[in-house]
Amino acid sequence: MFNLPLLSLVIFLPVFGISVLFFIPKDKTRVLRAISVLFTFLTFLASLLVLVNFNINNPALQLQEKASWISQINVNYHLGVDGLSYCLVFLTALLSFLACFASFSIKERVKEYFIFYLLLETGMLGTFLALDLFLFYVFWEVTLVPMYFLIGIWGGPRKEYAAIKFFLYTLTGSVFMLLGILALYFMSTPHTFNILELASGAQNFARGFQNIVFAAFFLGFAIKVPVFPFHTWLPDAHVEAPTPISVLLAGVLLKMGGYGFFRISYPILPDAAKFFAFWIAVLAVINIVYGAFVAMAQTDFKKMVAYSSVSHMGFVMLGLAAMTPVGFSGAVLQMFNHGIITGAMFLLVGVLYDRAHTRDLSAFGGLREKIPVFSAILIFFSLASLGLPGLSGFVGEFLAMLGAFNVFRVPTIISILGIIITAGYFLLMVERVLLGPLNIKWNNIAEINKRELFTLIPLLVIVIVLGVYPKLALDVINPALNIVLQRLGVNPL
Amino acid sequence: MSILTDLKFILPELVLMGGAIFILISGLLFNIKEKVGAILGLLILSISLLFLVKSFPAADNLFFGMLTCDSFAAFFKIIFIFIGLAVILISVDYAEIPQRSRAEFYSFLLLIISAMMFLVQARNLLMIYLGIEFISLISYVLAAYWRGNLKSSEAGLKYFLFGTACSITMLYGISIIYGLTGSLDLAQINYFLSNNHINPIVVSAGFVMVAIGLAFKMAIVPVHFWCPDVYEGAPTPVTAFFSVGPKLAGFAVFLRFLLAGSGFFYQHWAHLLGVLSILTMLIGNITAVTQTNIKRLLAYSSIAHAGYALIGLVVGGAMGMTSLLVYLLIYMIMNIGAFAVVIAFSNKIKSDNIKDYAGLSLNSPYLAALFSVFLVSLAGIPPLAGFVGKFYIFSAAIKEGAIYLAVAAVINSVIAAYYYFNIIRAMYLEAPSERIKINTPPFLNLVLILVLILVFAIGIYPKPIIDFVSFSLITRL
Repeated sequence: MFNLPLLSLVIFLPVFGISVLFFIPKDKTRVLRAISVLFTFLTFLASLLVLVNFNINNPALQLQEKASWISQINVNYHLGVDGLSYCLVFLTALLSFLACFASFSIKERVKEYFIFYLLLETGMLGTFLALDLFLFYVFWEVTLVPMYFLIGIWGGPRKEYAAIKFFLYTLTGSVFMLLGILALYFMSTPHTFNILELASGAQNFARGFQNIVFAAFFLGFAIKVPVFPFHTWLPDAHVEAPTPISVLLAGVLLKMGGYGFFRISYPILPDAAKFFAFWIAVLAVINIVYGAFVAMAQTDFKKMVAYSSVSHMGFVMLGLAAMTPVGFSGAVLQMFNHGIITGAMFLLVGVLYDRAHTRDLSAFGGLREKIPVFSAILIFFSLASLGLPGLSGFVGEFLAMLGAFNVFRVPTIISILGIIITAGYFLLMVERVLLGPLNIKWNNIAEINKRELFTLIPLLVIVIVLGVYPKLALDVINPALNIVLQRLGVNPL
Repeated sequence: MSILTDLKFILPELVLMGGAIFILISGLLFNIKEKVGAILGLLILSISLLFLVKSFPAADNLFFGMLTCDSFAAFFKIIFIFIGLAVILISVDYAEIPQRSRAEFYSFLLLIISAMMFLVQARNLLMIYLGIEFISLISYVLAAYWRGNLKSSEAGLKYFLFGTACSITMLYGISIIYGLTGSLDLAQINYFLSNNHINPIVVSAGFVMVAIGLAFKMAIVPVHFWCPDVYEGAPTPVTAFFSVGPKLAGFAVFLRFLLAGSGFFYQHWAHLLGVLSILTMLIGNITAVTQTNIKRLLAYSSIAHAGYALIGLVVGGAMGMTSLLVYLLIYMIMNIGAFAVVIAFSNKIKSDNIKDYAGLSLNSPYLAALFSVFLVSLAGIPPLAGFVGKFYIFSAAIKEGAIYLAVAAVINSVIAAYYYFNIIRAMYLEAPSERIKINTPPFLNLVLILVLILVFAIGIYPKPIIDFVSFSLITRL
């Protein structure tokens, strides 16, 4: 359009927001909140502008920006967007905007909160748009430090433990990923960090080398997804983080891991991907079933939703391991849908927690009488999360399993068990919280208010629209995935 | 080639030495005010820097083969002058150095910097020994500078005893090498060893003994034991200086010395040095986790950083050397920043315990934020300068195929992140014991802001630094 560097604008608008926030005195909370909402909204608008300038049918990376950064080691500031990145950028911008409203419940040290919040948003957006491995790594790491502070300062009772556990766990994965990046750089001819050049097929890395580097990247991405057995940081981080941060953690940060597989591991190291496919499928099924069983055993509402995330991300890994067009579509769609649905679930938990100051499932009961609107929305999103057909959650899971059925028959059949258990624990949760006799403690519980409703309605609409007409999202995603499939030697649909 | 014509090449050092004497005498005669002494010191350092930059490019083989004024030496000399400027600025408001000994302090500082400058351009083993001794003697005095404080005196004494033992070992090693090769000149030793077959055990003995003397200055395992006690006891500006000055000088001369026996060294000793590097990182990082005194923690962290830098030296090659110098330069900047914060804090709170840093984000959000940035940079998280240094070291290790070193380095980075974030946790997640305002004096502030800008600037745009390093590696003995 105007030849604006649109992608850079999307990434760095929150940073402009930070520089504005610096000058506002820390006691003016209303102004701080207004500025933060403004900048997250502007970022969301910018992401919509990207969609306007984006050609859905073109599978290549568009709106590319490239500038030499550290010429001595051939590092470039290189951004680009395709269907795969765009759906995640849209998810990030939308959830950041909505969670910013949910952040109004933060009462102390508001200025520092929003500064870290906006910095986190920049990191997340940059990860999805970077096309240079060095730049990708920088943005990936940029999300760590704000997360540490956001969990550690504004979190729950065990916030310090959760924050440092999250930080060190993720950092360990990241540094091994860094070694993988360096290995790719020195093995490539000519030495390059450019993801497109590395994925072009001209590099021909040796099989053994591919396997080792794939394992290094796997460590980094698997911790983020999270894949069993690297998931143990997730429940602590999710439970102790403040509500809006849980939304971003579940909604966006987990997707960074899945994105990494699609963008980096699979295109650059296709032989290793095929070599490990079965084992990834096995881990995926463990995620789905084990995650579901553990979720069922939880008495803490937030922990239950956290483990449900583990379970849902298992479908992403299943579709990934399948390496079929349908499987890939399902995996990416599941990433997007899970972000929306689980983001909404955490918002709902937050609404309840703000009023009740407890997350113990057995402490509630019969709330449908007192807060019918909240109950309706909670039931809606629970059904979406357990994969009721007609809502978006079903489509992603179904496509992932469809794609994996012919490739890994037995694992897919086992994962259906996960769906049954998921239905079980969600309905159990609905029963415990909403149905049954009213616990008189909550006689005066307040209904969901306009601000909270505002954060949930857009998500609700998306869940219905994509549930009925998923083609809208699939048309955006599929062209980019075809390129990855071609690299893997699979014929696209 | 006579001494008189060579004098112009060491004009920067002569300016410093003359200036040191000038400050000393002025202090004795005129009882100058403290800030005047500091400003004099800054002025003399700046004049020296001017001469340094003007006299470039310079010559090899000065003073009958004692000194070589190449770009490698120039790189370090420029760094040393900036270290001097920074240390003077952060020591101006440090309360524990008595008023009447200030002039002496600044003159010692200038002398030790000129000593380091002589050391990095030495090309003769005896000159190296002289340089090390010169630096060490002044260091012992500086370490004990806090008169009346038991820990400071202990620091000075420990440093002296340990250092003397290492120096003697080094001298003996030099004599062995001289006996074998018939020369003290590094280039001639290299030539001799490449062209004659000598019993590797005897040569190794000589090399190892000299290496011990040099490794002592770098504070790497196994000669690191003096480091925590000396860093804890010495006055904090002196600690800041020790952590960057003699350490970098030690690396510079170690590099020159190792390359004197180049083929020989890399064939036989590179792996051992690799193991030492891993041990240094491990011991430094793991011991730092349990520290309760911030100066001791930073001492162990310095030991660990020397271990990372050593990787660059071990793997060799153009990438290895570049990564070594980039890492040292960035480490210097971050460490000075960290110690500057410690000084600002201890000036008001009079404590170096990490426990007392609790709640600093509420008492002085400015200092807490700065310290957090420096600590995160030391941990090597992008987009700060520390990441660039670590990135280069990892690159060098992977490029030369030393995967075990790279893996050890990344694991150590995670361990280090734990104790750096422990401090950040105390500052941000804990409540302060009392609410007081902490002001930072202007000179200290200047250093803090400069380091902050540099940490971000180098992290986001490291190209100029890398160009600077590449330039310095063009000519080197």
